[in-house]
Amino acid sequence: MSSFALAVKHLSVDVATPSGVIRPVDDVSFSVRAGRTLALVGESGSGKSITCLSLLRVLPPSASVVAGEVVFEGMNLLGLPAEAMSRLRGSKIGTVLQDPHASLDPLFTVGDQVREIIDYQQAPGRAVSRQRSVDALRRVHIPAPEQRYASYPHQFSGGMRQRAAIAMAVACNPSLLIADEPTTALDVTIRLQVMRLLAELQAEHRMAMLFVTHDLHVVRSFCDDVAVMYAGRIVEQGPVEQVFAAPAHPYTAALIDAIPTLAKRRTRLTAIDGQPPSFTALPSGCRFAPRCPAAQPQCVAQYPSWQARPTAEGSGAACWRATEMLDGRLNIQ
Amino acid sequence: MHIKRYIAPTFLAAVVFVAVFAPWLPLFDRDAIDLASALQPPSANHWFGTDNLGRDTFTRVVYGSRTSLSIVVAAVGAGGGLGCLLGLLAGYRGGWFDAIIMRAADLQYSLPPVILALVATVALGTGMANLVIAISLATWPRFARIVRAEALHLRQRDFVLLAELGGASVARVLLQHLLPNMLNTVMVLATLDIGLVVTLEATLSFLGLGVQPPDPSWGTMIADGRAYLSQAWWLTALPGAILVATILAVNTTSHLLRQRQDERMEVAFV
Repeated sequence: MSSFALAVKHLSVDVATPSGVIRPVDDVSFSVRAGRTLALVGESGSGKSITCLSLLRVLPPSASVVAGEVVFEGMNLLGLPAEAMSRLRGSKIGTVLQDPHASLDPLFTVGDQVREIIDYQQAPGRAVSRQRSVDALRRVHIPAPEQRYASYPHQFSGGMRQRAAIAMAVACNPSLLIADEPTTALDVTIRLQVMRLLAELQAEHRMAMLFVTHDLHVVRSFCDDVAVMYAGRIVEQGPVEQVFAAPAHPYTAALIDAIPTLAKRRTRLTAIDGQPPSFTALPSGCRFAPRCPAAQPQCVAQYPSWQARPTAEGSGAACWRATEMLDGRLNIQ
Repeated sequence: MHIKRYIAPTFLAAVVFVAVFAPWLPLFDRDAIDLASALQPPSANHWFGTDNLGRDTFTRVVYGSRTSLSIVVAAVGAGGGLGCLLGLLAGYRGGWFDAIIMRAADLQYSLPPVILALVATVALGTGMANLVIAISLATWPRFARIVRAEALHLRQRDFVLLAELGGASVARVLLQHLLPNMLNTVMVLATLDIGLVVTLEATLSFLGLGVQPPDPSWGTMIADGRAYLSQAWWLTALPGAILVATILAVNTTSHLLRQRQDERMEVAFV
């Protein structure tokens, strides 16, 4: 057995749009190590969220998985009967979404919503499930959980709501947590608290976490591995320290370069010129080539094959010039 | 507290109370014919005057409220319930089910409700139950359409997705998360529907397909009184006034209830 909690292999998703069928997730492979956090980063519209939805098998009707495998605890999730998948989602796989204001039903108390999940999955009886949901609220550091159990979502602040949403996700002790931009809608100060909470819960329950974000600060401080997505494809994957120290893909390099730091504060913020390509008109070669400072004729002609990074298993980049980048022969600044 | 807030609910409660306890109240015999005192104007004895057969109009308004209110409750319940259920399923499931339900609703819309209810009563025969069925057939599409639109909108919200991810059944998602969140809309529709149902009931009764004489209903009383409008205005005007006041009270009460609900949710939706 591998030590991977979740392995996504060659996943492709098609979406029917008025202007034709597009493929926002194209041959995507990545894996989350047991008890570790994989950050899936990329700009808006790069296919991160659709990837998550297809792992959970809750794609909208217009979208469908056309190829690939999602292996979780030895099972291919995509081939599982709907009933078994439904069991798995509530108990073994927890989900935290971006907007804490939308994650909670405004008409029910916070505690009841946590209890609902426990009831669906374990049906332990009213008193026990109530106790367990109070425990879940306590685990996410909601003060006075017995009293706050009966509070309505509007009586909670944004950070508290996200804590409650996390309590719902971890109420049944999942072994995998899928967090789709859980800190994006929060204040910067709250963001750090929520990240610490997630890290703490992860250590406590030895959960694997798939963490979707576009906040590279968070990736650097809290994640173990990183997969970078661009225009529907994974362009680079590897351990966070190695990728940040020496990116093997010019897109990753440009992203890291665009992080504002205190040292750079007197200069203008850097940005990547141009726009990501539209899914209806993708370049035939490397999708980043039109914006890439290191593009060569080969990059435009042919999609790059995967170039492995020798220092870490399973990591590498989809770039013809990855080896040059890693050797330091090519410097993108 | 504002005393005004209690006027409408109190009136509504009084109407319901009088309707329920009519047989035990000190009223005239609703069917007693007394031609000698026909068409008397309102007086201390006959509050709402008497009709062409000398029957006490107030007594008949009270007994009419029993008929009218039970038809309203049954028809709004049946038509609204059916419409909500179909609308919820159509909006949530989508696809062919949605297409069938919505085309059926469109079909329904293309026929005037009165004609439809008319055909239904002719086919089913007269009587209270059939009247309710006929009226419900004419009123469900409005509920179905609007509830479907709300369901389409709410389905997108994350808490619905999270409930599904947590393992909630379709019935639970629909009844526990979608329906309560659209209760405002459903209540507005239901109150608006009450006026329509009373009118439909009156129309059908007027055509002899609804409530049969000598049973009084508000609709039949207003319709019957038209013949004497020049001599006896009270036969139409006073039952009409009670009808208007009742509908107004229902509207106001539901508005108050919604306000209370909004106060619970106001922060959630800023």
